[in-house]
Amino acid sequence: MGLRFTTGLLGAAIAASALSPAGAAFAGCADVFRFEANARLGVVDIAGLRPSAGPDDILAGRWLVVREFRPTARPTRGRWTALALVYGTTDGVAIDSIGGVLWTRKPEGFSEGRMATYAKTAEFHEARFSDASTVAACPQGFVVRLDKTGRVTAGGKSIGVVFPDPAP
Amino acid sequence: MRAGPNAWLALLASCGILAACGPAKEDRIVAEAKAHAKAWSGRQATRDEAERAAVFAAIDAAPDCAPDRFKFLPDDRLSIFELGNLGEELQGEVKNSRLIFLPFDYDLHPPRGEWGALGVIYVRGDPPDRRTIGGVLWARYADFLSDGGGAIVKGPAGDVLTVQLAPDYADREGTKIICVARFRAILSPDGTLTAGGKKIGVFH
Repeated sequence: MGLRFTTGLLGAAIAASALSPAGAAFAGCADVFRFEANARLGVVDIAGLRPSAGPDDILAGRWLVVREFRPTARPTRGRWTALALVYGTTDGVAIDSIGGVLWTRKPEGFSEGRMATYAKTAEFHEARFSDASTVAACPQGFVVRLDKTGRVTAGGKSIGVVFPDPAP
Repeated sequence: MRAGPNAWLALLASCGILAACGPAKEDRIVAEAKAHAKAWSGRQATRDEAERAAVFAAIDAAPDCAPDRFKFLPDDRLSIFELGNLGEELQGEVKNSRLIFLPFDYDLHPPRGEWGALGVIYVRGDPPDRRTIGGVLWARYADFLSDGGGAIVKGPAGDVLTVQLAPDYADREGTKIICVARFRAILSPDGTLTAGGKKIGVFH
């Protein structure tokens, strides 16, 4: 699970924007992405999850975890398709986990195992979801971020804080 | 980053049984456990392995507890908090079985009232698709004195998952497993999934 970047112009754009504030919600992103915080998954959904991925490091005692749905087993609701379960969790045993399910109306270009690019700094870890079919509507992609205080944001909106705060 | 599902057993053996028995008895138990483990593994066992093997042997030999210790919910849905504690797929003797058991971490079974989730049991295709059938297995926390783990083996009826708990594991000397509660899920060759004696569905 290393730090991964896509290649080409899209990759360069994503890499260049990787450290930009996650708080900004870009016009049009809501047309292609939706984050369902505190979602509940049934057995059929769970069976379609891939193993954990995400930035390969701990941030202040916590992890950002991305579990993609396999393309053959993605949940759907009308025109929306679920891409991944994304959450922040405590290191070691998961004492607390905060996150949700990322949905999109443009799932075709998101291929298995290469769905997100990851960035990590001393301040935050993030997963950025973008594809050629979504970049026009949502140029910087959809970002789920875990910061060093444990706060999880999705598309710039706070989802919650992973407890407990391990900082002394 | 997670402990194995059988760590509870080692904990039980090292902290529970032995601590209750004192040094003299500990020596005898360890000696007996090493004998169990040596026969079990065919090699010289470490102390931890020996203790664990002794508990396994006792669990395997124990009679069934009264039934209705479990509940299996096919339509259950789990929260993000609960999903954060799901472990890796149980590896059974049946390679590439379509019957899957995802146990929760041994010390963080998601709670709902007096019940705690043991894991998710399902049948899936390869690659997985939306035809999956299965459910979430729950047991009462009061029965969690010892988690006997689970195993998938192939039998005449098909692939059989057995999940065990030892609700009454100790006599007054703290050395005997009185009974074991066993939950079985069976995937028959025709694709029928039976869990706790009830037909859940047919996987086509």
